[in-house]
Amino acid sequence: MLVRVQRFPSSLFEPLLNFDHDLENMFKGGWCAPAARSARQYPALDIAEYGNESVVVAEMPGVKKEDLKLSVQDGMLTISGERKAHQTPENSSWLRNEIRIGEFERTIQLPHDVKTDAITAELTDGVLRIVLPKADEVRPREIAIK
Amino acid sequence: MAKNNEVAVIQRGNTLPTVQTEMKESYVTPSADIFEMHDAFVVKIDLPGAVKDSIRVTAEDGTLSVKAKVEPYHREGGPLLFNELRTPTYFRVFNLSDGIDRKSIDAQYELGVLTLKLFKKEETKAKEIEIK
Repeated sequence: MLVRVQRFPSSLFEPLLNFDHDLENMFKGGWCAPAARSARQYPALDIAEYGNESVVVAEMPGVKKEDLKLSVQDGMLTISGERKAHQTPENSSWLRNEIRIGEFERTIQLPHDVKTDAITAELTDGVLRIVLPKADEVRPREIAIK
Repeated sequence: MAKNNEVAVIQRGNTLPTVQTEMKESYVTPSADIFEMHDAFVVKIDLPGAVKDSIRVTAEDGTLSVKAKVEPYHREGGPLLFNELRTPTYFRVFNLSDGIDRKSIDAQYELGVLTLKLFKKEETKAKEIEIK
């Protein structure tokens, strides 16, 4: 069935647009309540699933590699770190301050069993990308017919 | 890619990727910090994921505009299990006072943050006045 949806200027309608997707994913197990999304946890992230791996992408501008920590335990992935204040020279005055700084931590449930030794992560231009290779048991496999 | 005025056609059970593609055309206003120094203004703008070559900083007609594009975060074929990010075009305009020397604007992009240094014209710099 095709549904025509007009483009809405407000993000108020976003939960409606995603409703079908939510409904579908609820049965597949990857569902997250819309409320959890609007809570604006930091860092904001995406999880994409492919055949042999899943990829977590998170935005964290201004965070240095050395101020970031990742850990995996009991099927949970924790991203924690700190965005440090940028150095302002003496005798400078603030005109506008919108960028938030400070410590953050976010824990997400891994979407599947993961080969923890083979997890890789890279931080480029303020975007963290974590590749979670699937454990052998959960990889898609073709079964030969004898 | 859907254009601004196009109506998105969304298939049941597969809404998210379509919505995402459609939202690419909308601008996201990035957060910014501005502080003033003796000889310059410094503007810091969060542009996570922006492709360096796509960042355009333009100073004209009393405004400074910044625009940057983000490459899609995901390759095709994988369903998103969780989706909070957009791959937007960042766009923001600032007012530019006459006291700024438009020819000497420094730009640097690091850790997803664009830092612009706008130098003041000689006559607008703060000066200490000697008391005779």
